Amino acid sequence: MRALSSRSEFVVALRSIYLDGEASVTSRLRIDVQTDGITLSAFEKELLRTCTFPARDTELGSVVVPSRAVTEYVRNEDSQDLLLAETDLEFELSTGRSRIALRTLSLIDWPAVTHLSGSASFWDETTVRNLGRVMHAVAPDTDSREIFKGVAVGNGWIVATDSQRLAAVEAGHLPDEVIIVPRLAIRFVLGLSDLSSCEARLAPGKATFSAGRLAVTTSLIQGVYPNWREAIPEGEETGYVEAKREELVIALRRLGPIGAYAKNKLVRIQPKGTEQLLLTSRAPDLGYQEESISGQTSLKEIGFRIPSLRELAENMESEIIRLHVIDPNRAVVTREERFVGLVMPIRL
Amino acid sequence: MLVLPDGTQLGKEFRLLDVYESYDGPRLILCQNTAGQLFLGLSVEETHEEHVWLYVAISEERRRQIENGAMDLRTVFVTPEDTFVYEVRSATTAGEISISLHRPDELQDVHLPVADERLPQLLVAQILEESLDTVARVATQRRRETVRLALRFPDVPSPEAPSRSLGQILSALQELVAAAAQAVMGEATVRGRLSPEVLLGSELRVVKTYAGSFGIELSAAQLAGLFGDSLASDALDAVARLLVAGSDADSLSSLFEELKPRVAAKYRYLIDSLFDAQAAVHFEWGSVVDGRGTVRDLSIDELRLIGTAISEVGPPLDTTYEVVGQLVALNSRTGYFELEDRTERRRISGRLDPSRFQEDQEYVVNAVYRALVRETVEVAGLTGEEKISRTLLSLELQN
Repeated sequence: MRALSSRSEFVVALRSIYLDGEASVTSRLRIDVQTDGITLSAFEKELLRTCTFPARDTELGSVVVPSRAVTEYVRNEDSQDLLLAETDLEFELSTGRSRIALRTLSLIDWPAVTHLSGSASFWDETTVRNLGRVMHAVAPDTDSREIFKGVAVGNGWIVATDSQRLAAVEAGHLPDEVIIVPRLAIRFVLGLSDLSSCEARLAPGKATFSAGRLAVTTSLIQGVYPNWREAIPEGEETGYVEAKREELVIALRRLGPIGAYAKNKLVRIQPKGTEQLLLTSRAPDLGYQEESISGQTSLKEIGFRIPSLRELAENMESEIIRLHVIDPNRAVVTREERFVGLVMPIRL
Repeated sequence: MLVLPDGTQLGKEFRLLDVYESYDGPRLILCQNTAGQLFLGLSVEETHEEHVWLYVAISEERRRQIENGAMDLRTVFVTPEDTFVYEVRSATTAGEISISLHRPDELQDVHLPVADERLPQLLVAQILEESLDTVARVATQRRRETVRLALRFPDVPSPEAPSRSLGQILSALQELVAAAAQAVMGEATVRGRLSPEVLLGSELRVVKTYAGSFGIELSAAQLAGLFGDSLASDALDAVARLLVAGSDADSLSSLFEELKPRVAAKYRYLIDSLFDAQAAVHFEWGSVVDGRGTVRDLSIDELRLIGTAISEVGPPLDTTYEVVGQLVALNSRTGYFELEDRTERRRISGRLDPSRFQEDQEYVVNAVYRALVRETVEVAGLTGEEKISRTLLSLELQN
């Protein structure tokens, strides 16, 4: 195996296949040299990520090496080119003035996961960006309910919920079949270099998303996604909170110093005169903070978790956000074109 | 035949709320006029021509006393709150109603209930069941998990409850639910603070009390989630499984294995609190989640058996371990010690075991000792905080 490539392209490729651009100490890196290019592969947390980029003077071959050593070596170099070569049980990277030789790891132990091939459906840039708009509502990895740890895509909607909040974006051209894509895979999809030409290939329990040089293959979350439409309260509005969205987002961010330590990260929203809202957060051992913004409410007061409300507002686009209270015992609803958001209030 | 005194000086649009006794038709009833005034009605005479009833206006408080058996029926009629008893005569054919007012001393003794006749307790239970919405329905309406506890305290007139015992039982129940919430979240710890998420999601609030035994209705402080799910629901499900296990040691053992020691300790605390108060309990849980909920009665005997079973299979509350570290302080007179654990770089302090340490024994401060310490988890507080007490069992100087 042998190849000559641009060092900067090698670095970019490495960065793009690791979460947050950083390989962990135990990560393994697979390097495949083809006729006119190199493919770097990482496999962690049920995700296969690859990046392919051009190379010259190639001799075909594959190796598996420790990622961290390769990453640090190529990052700390400043030469233009990088030579990759395999000798017996060693893999060598060299730049002309320096070289590093690494013990290769067993290829047999590399997971037998490959990207799906065949016909693909195309997700346009809006669809991919909409995945990002609902990501805040995905349940954290610590949640015991697997079904909520991904984004449900299909049947005309992109939906995420952790059962305390929900974000749904209408995306009419999606197929009827609903798949649940794990949060981590979505993060990689959002990081694809060319969002305008994302291809999706599906097989039972598995999906591959690719764009340009990057591809990610993931297991899909199995199970039936709950009927999220039933969670939307129906009927007449019995109360509301209305504010300029940007102002609300900024105020909720500004509540950070106290809000982060407030019990349950609670913000109380109350009317202040007829044209303003008072947002208050109180941390028992620290103090309290108030923010005033333009807006109105018909309610005496209502409470929310600051991150839930902030992230919902951040991912909306309209100038004004109106939170509709339809049933005081159920979630508060907000809507804008092709978007529905739900957030459970905190009982005070 | 029952003819309510509708459209008379007693009021209009009468509603029949309860039939307490029946014999060939209602004989003792509770009804209410459109203004909300309650009347207890007693059938006293029935012929082919007419039916005679006595009606007495009663307050909500008196209704409670009647229904929980605290007041006998004769007293209701001979000491009417509104001075008078109404005699209502209705003709069986034409349906005409005539009403006359009587002072209690004008009533015929034969028409009055015998002295000390009360509503039977079984009937009281039925009334409770009927007058309260089912707990599941309440939970669904509120979108909050809801629990009803009916406690029967000995030597306390119904519907009263000793505040100390009641407080301890409620505190024990809350701590158990919080510990179960922590376990179902998959972050069970034996001791230490509970996370804000656990405290928020498991908090119960007393919503109301009701008559009967001493009845308390509690609901989760927070609403159920978008799909009816909630941490409180999962935690109460775990609690319900413990209650259903009863005194079956194998079932309890496997539940403790699953739910971890904190839950076992808190369950023991609840059972002990009930047993100490000699309070038999009726536990009813209604859930927002379809298919969830439970009803469980625990008698004093069952509480004792459960307590014994927990002692057999529950985790020990004491642990003993060795520490090697520098002696920071030791006062055999006050019984206090403090050591700095060499391995974990933390200070531990507590009391000396009085049976093992005498005032004339000498120890060297700052010297390194091998110590044997017993740690006891004490159940306390509503804050989610565990209290740990340590007892020093021995000290051996290290070279």
